[in-house]
Amino acid sequence: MGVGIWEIHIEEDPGRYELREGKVDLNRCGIPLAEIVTAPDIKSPEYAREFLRDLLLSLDYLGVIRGESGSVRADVNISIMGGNRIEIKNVNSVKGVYKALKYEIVRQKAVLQRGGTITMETRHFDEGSMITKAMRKKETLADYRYIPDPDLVPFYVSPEGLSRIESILPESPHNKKKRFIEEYSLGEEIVDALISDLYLSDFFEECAKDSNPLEAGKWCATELKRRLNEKNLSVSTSMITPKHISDMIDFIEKGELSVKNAKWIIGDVVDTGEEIPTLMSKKNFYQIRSEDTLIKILEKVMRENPKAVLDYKSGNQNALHFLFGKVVNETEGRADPSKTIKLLKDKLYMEA
Amino acid sequence: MFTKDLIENLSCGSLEEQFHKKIETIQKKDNEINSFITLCLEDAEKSSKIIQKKINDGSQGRLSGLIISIKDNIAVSNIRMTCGSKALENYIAPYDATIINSIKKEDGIIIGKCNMDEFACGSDGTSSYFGLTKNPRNVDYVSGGSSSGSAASVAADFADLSVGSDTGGSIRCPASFCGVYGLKPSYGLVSRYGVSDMAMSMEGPGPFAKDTYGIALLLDVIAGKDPRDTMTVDSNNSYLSVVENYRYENIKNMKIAYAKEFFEGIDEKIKNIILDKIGILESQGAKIEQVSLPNIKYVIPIYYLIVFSEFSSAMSKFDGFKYGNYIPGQDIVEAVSNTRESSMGTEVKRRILLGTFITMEEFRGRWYTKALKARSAIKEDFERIFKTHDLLIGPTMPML
Amino acid sequence: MAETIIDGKIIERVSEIARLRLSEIEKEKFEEEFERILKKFSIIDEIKVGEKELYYVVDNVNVLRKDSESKPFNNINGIKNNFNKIEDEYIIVPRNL
Repeated sequence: MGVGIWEIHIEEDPGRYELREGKVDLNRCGIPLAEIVTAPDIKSPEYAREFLRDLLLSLDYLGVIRGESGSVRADVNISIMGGNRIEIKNVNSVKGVYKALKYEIVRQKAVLQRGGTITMETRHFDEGSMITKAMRKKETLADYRYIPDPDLVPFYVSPEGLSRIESILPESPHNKKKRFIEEYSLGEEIVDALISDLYLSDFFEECAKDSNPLEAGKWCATELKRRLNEKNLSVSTSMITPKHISDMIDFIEKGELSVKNAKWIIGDVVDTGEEIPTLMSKKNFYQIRSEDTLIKILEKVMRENPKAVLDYKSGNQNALHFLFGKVVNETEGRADPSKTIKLLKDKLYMEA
Repeated sequence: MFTKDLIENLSCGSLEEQFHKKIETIQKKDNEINSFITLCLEDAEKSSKIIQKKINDGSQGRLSGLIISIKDNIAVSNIRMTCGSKALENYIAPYDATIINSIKKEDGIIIGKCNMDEFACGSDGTSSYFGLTKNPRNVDYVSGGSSSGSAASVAADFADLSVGSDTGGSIRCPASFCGVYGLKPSYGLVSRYGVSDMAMSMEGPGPFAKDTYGIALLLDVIAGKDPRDTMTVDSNNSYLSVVENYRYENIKNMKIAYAKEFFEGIDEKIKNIILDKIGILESQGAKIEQVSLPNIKYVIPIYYLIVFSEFSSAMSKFDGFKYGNYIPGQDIVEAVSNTRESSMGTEVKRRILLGTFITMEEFRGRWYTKALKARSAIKEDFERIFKTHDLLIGPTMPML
Repeated sequence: MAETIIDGKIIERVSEIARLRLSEIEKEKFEEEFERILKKFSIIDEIKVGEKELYYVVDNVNVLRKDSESKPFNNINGIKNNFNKIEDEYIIVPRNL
């Protein structure tokens, strides 16, 4: 397995020309570009998609990729048994590559099955309709001339130069994955979610310094990631800091903060950056753990729901959950759950 | 007047007077000679005033108010640059070539942009879209090319110095035709940044003057490493001090070679002049030796094969989008083809087509690659001679 | 070495690749000329060549510059003025229909 890399060309962006309006955008002019030519090792659209995701992630880790759209493009070549190679030019998303390949396989098979032939040609992928279209012949008129630019002097990489570069390369995503699993005993699913975003994985490691890594990993990979995606933010552009997560886990472990409210806190902090203790007081998130207070609330809930009390007595366990839910609502989630269940059971038993 | 005396005169006389004398000469004679495509008299007058002040307090640069003309394939900021072609009829260069920067810094006055064979394709000065350049020595003759206006403007005294460019004789040939001095510096000695590409691996700008002093002075100013031209090399010599310190005794014991192949098929009169000069050198104590350059007969085809290839590549930018007057077509390919058809002369087209042909996938091995390989053999020939000799001497042009 | 045959078809292809329209007269003229020119050039077959292709005549390698702040170009108007049409600070060239 793996995809061979044949060549990497280093170029400069000459700028962009919008065909339809004739508009020339020279803002990217001179920005370095690399063209990576792979060996024909990719056997399926799914594999192409996986490879591209891995490649993009590695490039992202290297810090050589610009975030804006259109900064990564692929020329996709595909041939199936019995046909010639088709090139699809300028596909600008991983999803696009996948869809274009899927479409081409169906199209090429159909042509061959009906006795047609697939001749070498260049096609264009239409993002809107997710299909490929042949380009006009003249546009693809091969200009196979090849003259080395006499103004580009040769560049030789010495073994020393190579090892110097290797020594400053950041950790690659797959090495990071291995390390996270070994060092923090995290599950693969959590690790995949963390490493898929370089900033998030760094953020997690900061959190793990002050908190239980298993908890930190879980919160970063699930709730934090979900909130960031939802708001189209990354940890670097949001207000949240590792300290927020550590403080939050601390409150949960002390039994002072409920999981439900912790989730709310994350949603708030990514925007506001508010300190956790401040939020705890402001939103009154400290859990109610005083038995006296809890008993008062229980009594009120039982009074208001006599039917549930009766149901429980006649053996319906679900009624317990129903009543617990009512307590949670009554306290806006602040009732300490284990204490509440215990007191509720005691109370119902006593009533019986 | 010799360049050195000229500088001395300028330093005690009036720059303005000298400047107006030049303009008068130009106005009187350039209608016929046609050595300029664009004059920049206003800018020139402005800088002459500034330089006059500098001369008055002795702070002038090395070119100290000499009037300089520039071949029109070298960019001078905010001045039209045509390369002698219709394709660039209205193109205003937005920046200075590195060598123009150096000339301005050393207080040379740029008077105008010189006529040239279109995109430097030619050796007689007749293929310019702006008309041919006549030879100031005899207006019935051509000036030679491709730096035709540069040579003619110095010969006609429109300018004290000029900058041209040379790939395969484009300075040397018109200098020879017009009877002035011209030098093609070794490749890499002078920056090409801001010079319109013709054959990138061979060409380079170089000086014209009325004497070796002028050549050396201008070369000192324009030579040297330029970060914007990766092919340039350091130049620590002062060519001017070499010229100034030259004594006849220096010739003594110099080993000078001449190749017998240089005299094959050459005009008798030229041959005799060269042999005569060789005789003078010998009488001054130089050791003269005949050598052989067995591969010299292949130079022309190799030269053209490489020039055409690089030229066709360099010319692809003149497509009506980036430069030139766009002529529409049914699609983009047709439009570009139409644009190029209407804006380029025959010699330019011939070279583009041949260059395209010899670099096409199926023909490049037979022509382009072969020429690149053969080029090594030529280089080795010359390296061999310069291992044992100080100079190699020969005629510039084989015929009159 | 086998001679390259120059015919009308090749001239046509070259003119397409070179993006240079030719009139019928030009085509005929160039066909005749190219054959003549290439025949002359074929004397390079006599020269003994090694395998080395000489692209560069100076020995400069690894020419790099220091990484530095980019300096903005100071004559952007000078570039714009060479184009007939400018819209919202962008150069407008013909459309590719």
